[in-house]
Amino acid sequence: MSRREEPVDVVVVGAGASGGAFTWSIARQGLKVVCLEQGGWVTPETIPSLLPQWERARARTHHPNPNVRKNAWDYPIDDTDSDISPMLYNAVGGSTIHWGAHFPRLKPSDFRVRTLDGVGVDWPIGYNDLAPYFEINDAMMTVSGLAGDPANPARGPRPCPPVPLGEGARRIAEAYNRLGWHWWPVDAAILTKDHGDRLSCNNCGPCDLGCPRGSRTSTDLAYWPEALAAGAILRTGARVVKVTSTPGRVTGVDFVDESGELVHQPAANVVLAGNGVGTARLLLLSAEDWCPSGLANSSDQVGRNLMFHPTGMVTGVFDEDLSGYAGPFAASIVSQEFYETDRSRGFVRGFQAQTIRSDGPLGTALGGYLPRLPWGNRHHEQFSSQFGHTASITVTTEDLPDPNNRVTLADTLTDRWGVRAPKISYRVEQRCRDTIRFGIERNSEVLREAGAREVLSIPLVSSAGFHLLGTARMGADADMSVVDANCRSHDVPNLWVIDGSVFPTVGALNPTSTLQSIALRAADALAGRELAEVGGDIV
Amino acid sequence: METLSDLQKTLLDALVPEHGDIPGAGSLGLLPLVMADADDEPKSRALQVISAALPDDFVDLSSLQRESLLLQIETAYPNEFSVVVNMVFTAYYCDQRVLDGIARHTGYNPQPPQPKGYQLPAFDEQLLQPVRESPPRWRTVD
Repeated sequence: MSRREEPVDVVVVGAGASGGAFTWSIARQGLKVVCLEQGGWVTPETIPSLLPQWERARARTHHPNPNVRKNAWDYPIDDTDSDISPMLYNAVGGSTIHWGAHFPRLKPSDFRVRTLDGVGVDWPIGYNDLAPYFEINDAMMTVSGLAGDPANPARGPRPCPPVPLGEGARRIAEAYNRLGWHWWPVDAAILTKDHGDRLSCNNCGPCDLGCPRGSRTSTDLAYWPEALAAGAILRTGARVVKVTSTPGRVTGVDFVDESGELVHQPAANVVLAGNGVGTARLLLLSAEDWCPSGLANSSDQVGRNLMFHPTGMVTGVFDEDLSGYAGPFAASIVSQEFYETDRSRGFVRGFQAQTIRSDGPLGTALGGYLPRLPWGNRHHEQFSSQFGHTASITVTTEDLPDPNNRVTLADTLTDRWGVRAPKISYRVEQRCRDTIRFGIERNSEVLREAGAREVLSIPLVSSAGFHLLGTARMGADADMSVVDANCRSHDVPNLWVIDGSVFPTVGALNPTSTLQSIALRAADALAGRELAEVGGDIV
Repeated sequence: METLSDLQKTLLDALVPEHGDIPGAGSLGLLPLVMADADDEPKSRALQVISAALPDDFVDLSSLQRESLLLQIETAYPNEFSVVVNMVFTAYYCDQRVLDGIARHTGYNPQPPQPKGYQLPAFDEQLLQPVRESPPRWRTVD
């Protein structure tokens, strides 16, 4: 026997990057909205960067992979058949709790890869459809950076000036200049000046552990306070186990609350914002007799086309101490010299080169940017030569939709409530490997030009499954996609998917800015439709 | 007859030897921390497997002999050995005495990253002048 809540206009599943933005918008437009989040609030005093054991926390309790972290509110993911392991976080704020805050937008060409390059699929929307939402979102996420980048469309002044470079990034920027290549300071969701009660970044380094100053933006800070003030209801510790439905319509969701009680939340609209793994899992778990292969899955596209952004890494070791551990680890500069297609390289599409600072003592020893240090008599010599003396460049590529790269339900693995876990099956395509190889060669040149005495590379960072995309893609063709251009299910008109699942293709850029803008646009679409039915006002 | 803990302490010293005024990982007394860290089956089993592979006279071997022997064990049990190395590195580089030693040699702040952080010079826009002068390089679409 389950408890039944009062009906609402909209129930949102997931309070992360997209769920937070969407709920903020929909609440301000007068709809009654409840958001269900399986994690809880992260309080500043619990953030490990305040603790002596901060690097141990990163390797254990705050590891980005839920299979390693195993927090009570995490679900396991079967990744035994994947070249890349997933990163995600379950909390109010979602994976923005543990991100590097790099905040680029997809480019116009990223929405038209079939037309321009003959691969993948075109999006049913374009850059200009999202442009106004990009600007709203940049303001809400208090983005730092600098307008005027010749590699991107014009955009408004950034709310904050760029993040400081540090010595390593400065050397790399000067090397790019000598080579005549593009580079630009990143757009980053990091405050470089105080904003209300949130303090300017003090360059501590490990943004991925959370930010006790509130300098590195996450959606629990950027969107949720205003969403709650606008009347949204947020329930934490609420694990959604099923979207309930009758033929052709969803009726709400079932969730298990913190006490373990099964609760039914009726809703006129169900909006999924659980990331490319969680959303696909929930749609598959919600199969009924009328939709035996999963909810919204008449196209058989739910769970397919999983994309991660395969990434390689090249690292320069410098004689000089760069104090590379100082500054936001993922935010300094990027080069998009090789972003757009040039068929003379032997492959289509391109890559982004993002400068990464160096790691703390344990991170240096365990490896990641470089191979793990040797044990034994050579250990200390190697540590001394690398610690604080490195700067790295990631080569992030665009994987294309492949129906065999997918999320399914695991055969036997379950979460602690006995609900089937997701399984990811994923292979990196040869084109991505070729792109990474090319990118490592080019950026090795850069690091040598910057003065590195040694340059080392990792051809695939297998732990870097940081972007979970494509598994409920949008499209105009209902036979080949799950949702329409407004993120509304083709099969079920009151079901919406608003997270990175809807990306038909993914560019070679971090997706958060784009997926939040899609969520804001979807909120307007839903509110516009709902307003006709419930008579609300648009604020 | 050496005890298991004597062997394991020597193992830790061999994996991360003494450095200047900082003792090796075993002599720092990190074995209990490593044991406590072996709190799941893969880590516990790895520690057991590698410990069992150590000969009784491991403590009496020279540094070079220990390293040579450990290379053989690493070859025989690569996965387990890697897990043990990670546990030992984790215990060693989270020890405040080690962090203080690194600070003495490098200027690294051995305290947690927060609340102090680091001072960095502000971004210098002059660096961007050559890029600003370059033409647009993104593709326009209809």
